[in-house]
Amino acid sequence: MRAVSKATDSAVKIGARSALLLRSWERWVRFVPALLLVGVAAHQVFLANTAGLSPWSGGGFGMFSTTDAGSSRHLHAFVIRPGIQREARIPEAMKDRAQRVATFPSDANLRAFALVLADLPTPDHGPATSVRIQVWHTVFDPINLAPIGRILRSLEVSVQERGPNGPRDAASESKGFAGEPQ
Amino acid sequence: MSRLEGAARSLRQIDPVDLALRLTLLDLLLRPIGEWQIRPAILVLAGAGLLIPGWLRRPPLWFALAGLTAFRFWADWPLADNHAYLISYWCLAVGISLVVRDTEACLALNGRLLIGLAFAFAVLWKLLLSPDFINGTFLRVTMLQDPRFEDWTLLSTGLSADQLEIQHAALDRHLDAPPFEVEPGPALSARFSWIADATTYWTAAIELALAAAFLWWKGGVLSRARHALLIVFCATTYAVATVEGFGWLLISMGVAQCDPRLVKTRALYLASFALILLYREVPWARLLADAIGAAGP
Repeated sequence: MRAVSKATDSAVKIGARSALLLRSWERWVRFVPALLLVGVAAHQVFLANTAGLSPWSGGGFGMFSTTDAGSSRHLHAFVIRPGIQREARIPEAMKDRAQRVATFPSDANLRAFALVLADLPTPDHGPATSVRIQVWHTVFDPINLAPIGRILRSLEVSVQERGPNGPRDAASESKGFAGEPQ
Repeated sequence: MSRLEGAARSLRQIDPVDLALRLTLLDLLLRPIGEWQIRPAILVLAGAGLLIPGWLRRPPLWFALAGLTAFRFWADWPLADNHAYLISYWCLAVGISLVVRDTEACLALNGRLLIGLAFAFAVLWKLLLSPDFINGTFLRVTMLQDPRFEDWTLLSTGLSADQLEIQHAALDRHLDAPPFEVEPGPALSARFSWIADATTYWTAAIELALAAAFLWWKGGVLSRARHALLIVFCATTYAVATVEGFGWLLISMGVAQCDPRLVKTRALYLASFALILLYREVPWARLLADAIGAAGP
């Protein structure tokens, strides 16, 4: 009889502990969506301020706050060989990728795209030595709305020393951020 | 009178959770999101949730919708718009609310937090982080350049369609070589500037008020104004900016925290939902501009 009573007591205790755990699980799980929103949005603010991510993109609720939308940016890419610098014509099939790179011109995105462009055929002979990519956006004069072109980010990637592991092994680079046109 | 009373009684009887969930599914059906890989699945799930008895409150349906909408912004990163993110968080919130014991309170809490935080970040961008919002540049350029604002610009600013086209073309030019600056378009009228500035300040003010009202503690003065602010925001903003999916989502989240006894507030939420649909389907600003000759020849 005493054994049965002990077993009942411990079952009640386990039940109570489980209910407590359940209650505490229920207490915090309800904040997950809000925490996700804050995490993603704070990350977007960080990337917009450090890596040139367009304020319109990335889930930070910066839409309709600036003229600097990703779709209003554009890029120029120059394939460089000894003595020759030629602007690359970006094929139609790569336009979507170019738009993504312009929207989020992080070093990694610019570098990867530059190395893809280095392999595009051009009329010039010999392998490319480097590729320079410039991401441009337009700012507007607050008085008369005159459009002013600005380089948002610029990166030159050497392709000569590309290693066996592909784009990640690109050897050297020089970069600019939101600087004067080069 | 009795019909009105009957309608009010029916409205009071609808469970706030059911109403919010139905409006969310309607949002997904009326403004489908994603590309062909996920869009059919979202539409089928949303339709099933509305039509099959008992499916509306099935957590797997909402977790699946949360997953599909999250896949959309993950696959499309960083190009997806804010609506894609917010609807994913909201579907997740619905799924979680349906597995916890106090479903109604959990959903209401999430509605408040998600609306408040979304507007808090929107205000952070508009007032502190963006260099060109509060000085009016953004809305001036947008009213001249963004096709979604064209009808409103023609109606409110006195610009003719030809003048708008000239201004649009002037803003589209860019010069990627010295001197980098392009000649501006023709000077804009004082009326245009006034409308653009008023829209700028109104947007900043109401979004700030919404962030404060939804994040304020429950029962506070500001908190009590939150439904009115959200309804006014939806009825005014989406008349001009036709991004209806976001508006419907805000209404769904607002309804989730609206006491069923507040029959008028509920009715106004539903009227706002219908109004946004009308804004999308009826080019009211263009018709009005044509009727009063505001758009010119």
